[in-house]
Amino acid sequence: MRTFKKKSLKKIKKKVLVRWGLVYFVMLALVLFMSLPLIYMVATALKPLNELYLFPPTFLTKAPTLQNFRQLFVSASDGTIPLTRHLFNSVVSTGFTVFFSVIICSMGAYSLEKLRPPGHEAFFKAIIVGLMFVPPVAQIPIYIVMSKLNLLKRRLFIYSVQLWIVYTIEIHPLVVICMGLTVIIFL
Amino acid sequence: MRKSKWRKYLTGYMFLLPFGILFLLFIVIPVIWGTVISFFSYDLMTPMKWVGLENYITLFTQDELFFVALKNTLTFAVIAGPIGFVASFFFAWVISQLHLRQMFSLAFYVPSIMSSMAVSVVWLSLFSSNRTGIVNNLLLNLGIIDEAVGWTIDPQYIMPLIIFISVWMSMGTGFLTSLAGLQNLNEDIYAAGKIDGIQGRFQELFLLTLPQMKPQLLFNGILSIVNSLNVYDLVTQIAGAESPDNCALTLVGLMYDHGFARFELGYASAISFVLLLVSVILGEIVKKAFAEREEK
Repeated sequence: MRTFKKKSLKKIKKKVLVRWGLVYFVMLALVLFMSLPLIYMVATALKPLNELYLFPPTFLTKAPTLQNFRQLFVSASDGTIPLTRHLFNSVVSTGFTVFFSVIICSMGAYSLEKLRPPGHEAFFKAIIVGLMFVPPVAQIPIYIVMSKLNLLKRRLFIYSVQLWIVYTIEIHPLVVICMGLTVIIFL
Repeated sequence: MRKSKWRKYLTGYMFLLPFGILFLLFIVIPVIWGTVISFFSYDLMTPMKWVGLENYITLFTQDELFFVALKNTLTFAVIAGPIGFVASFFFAWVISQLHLRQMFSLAFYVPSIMSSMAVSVVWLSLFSSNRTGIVNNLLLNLGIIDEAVGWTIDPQYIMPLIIFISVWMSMGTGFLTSLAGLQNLNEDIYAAGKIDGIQGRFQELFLLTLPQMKPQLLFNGILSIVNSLNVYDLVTQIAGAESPDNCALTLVGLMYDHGFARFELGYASAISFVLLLVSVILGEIVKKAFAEREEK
């Protein structure tokens, strides 16, 4: 009796193990599939020039080289490609956006969720409705305002548009709450 | 007592103020103004001219491209939106039960933080329309197809390809929200559910997990709809600004064409107003489906 029980328990354990193994296998395959384009991107960056248009095409490179990166830095240093300027613009506009949207949106979310001043429900509903607007809908009026203000050439314009884009697409009290939770989980 | 309550409320309003100002400035006012402009003829140079409903009449009666764009946009939103939505939740649910959670989530999240420009270069090269494209080459070698498929030039394949890429890309945010929600579920409910006779993971998922996840689901649903209505730079990258037979023309694309290439801002505003209506209608449907029932 006793041995029989042990055996069946083992069987069940084995079954569970196989099932989980299958889940892991499928998920790993999916992860590989998801990241294939990224792997391909890195592989292509490491390809020497003569391998780029080979036939039949190769997925991974045969003779990896850092030549492309060197080329990039050379063109960057002699000014053919103003890489540092591009980098600076990206970093500054991203930093600006992240900094302000995180602060402003967490403040708003905190107020809506914890302080709950009268009218917070209506405001939250308005935000949900606002979330439904596809950003380009507001693009024309904003473009008109900015061109009227003659800000198109100024960097401030780009930053404010960036802020607006991130604000309308990504940032929402709920996201901020979830982001906070995610950060806590990942740490 | 009373005074401190109002103090608290005042703090609440002050905290909301910056967000409120931005909300007003970047969403409420532009949307209203855009609607107003759609009743005018306006090209930035000459003064605005009132034309009433003429923009809308032209749009609905004479503009053939508009219906093509509307059809494409709706097709895209109805297919890509739900797929991305369900997939991101499902994978978040599976991954939340696995070990090595961080590694799995990273793989699902990375595509979405890359810009669509960078991504489309890679995809274009993978799905190149001649035999040198990796996908074509693979399919040829496996004998599935006889000659190279024009993934990015054949009207038949462009839309499916764009939907595929956009699902691949759109997983990220929805995935993270779902994951964060799944990590913060109330454990007690599961113990109670076991006692009440809930068996198996799927029963648990449908009876216990999903009802608790309503806020995240609502957010993801709206986000996936807005994202799929908003598809533009991916399309222009994959199919080109002028796609064959306009098979990949979307409402946003049409709006950009009229607004920023021809400077018919009134007409473009009318298009974007239609887009607004579409997104609000779809959003309301999603809201109906996932809104938290007020239990009071």
